[in-house]
Amino acid sequence: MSEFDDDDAGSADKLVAPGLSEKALLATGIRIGTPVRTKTMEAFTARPRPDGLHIIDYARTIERIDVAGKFIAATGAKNTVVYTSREHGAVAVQKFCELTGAMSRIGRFMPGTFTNPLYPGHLDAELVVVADPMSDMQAMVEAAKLGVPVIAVCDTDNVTDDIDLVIPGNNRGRKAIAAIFWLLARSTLVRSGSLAEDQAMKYGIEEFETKVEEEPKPDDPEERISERRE
Amino acid sequence: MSQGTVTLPLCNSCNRPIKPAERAVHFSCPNCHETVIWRSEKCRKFSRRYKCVNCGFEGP
Repeated sequence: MSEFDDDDAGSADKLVAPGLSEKALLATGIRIGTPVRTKTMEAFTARPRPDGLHIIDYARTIERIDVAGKFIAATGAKNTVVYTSREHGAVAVQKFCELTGAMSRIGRFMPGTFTNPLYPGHLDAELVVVADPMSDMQAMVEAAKLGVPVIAVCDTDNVTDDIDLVIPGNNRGRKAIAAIFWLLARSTLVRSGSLAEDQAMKYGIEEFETKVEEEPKPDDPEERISERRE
Repeated sequence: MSQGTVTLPLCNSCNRPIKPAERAVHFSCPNCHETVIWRSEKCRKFSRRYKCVNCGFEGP
């Protein structure tokens, strides 16, 4: 077995959280980066794989998720806005907000959501969490204007400008983003005292995943002809 | 008219005083939540490191 085979890596006996083994966590692809690595993300990457993909040091991911959980719990989840513009992170953000009581914003970020008090959808945020700094730039720009701290899930190719706490992790994968938000929700609930450390959460990682609907297969012309004959 | 002094907060990364009009950010240390960390606009933009004086946590 190669050390780079992520599906087989990790120990099945070592638990990261109740009901989640290290092997199951690594199978989500949480540590798979991109071929590009920025200078600021150098500290969070372990080594490049033979195919050129940079691998994220997942021990630091878990450490930072714990710190972010403390930060959200101390600031108050109700004052936290969690935003993603990506479709595959939508369910993870919704479930996170359902469990912790944070405010969620999904899809297009209307300019002025933080800065324009006359806008009907205006939000007063004390802390902003974004799933991808590259696609969620507008939320970060507005948070920077107001002096609101920002927590961001950063891949190896992300620039960490205007970010106050980086959570290194794969933010492109459906399963990986679900795992990160699941761990973050768990950490927030434990740190705020609403969940015991050995207690299981209401939802599993699978429920944090965005489901992909299979496209209907194109009709077979031969089948159609036989149906007409009948 | 009375004269007083104003103590400006210092940036945790560059140790320069932060002017009131500056778009700086301040927050309690994410790890220990006991000290207040100030980051100037420039240090935040250039993603310069900050360090908590109480617990030693380094960010971002």
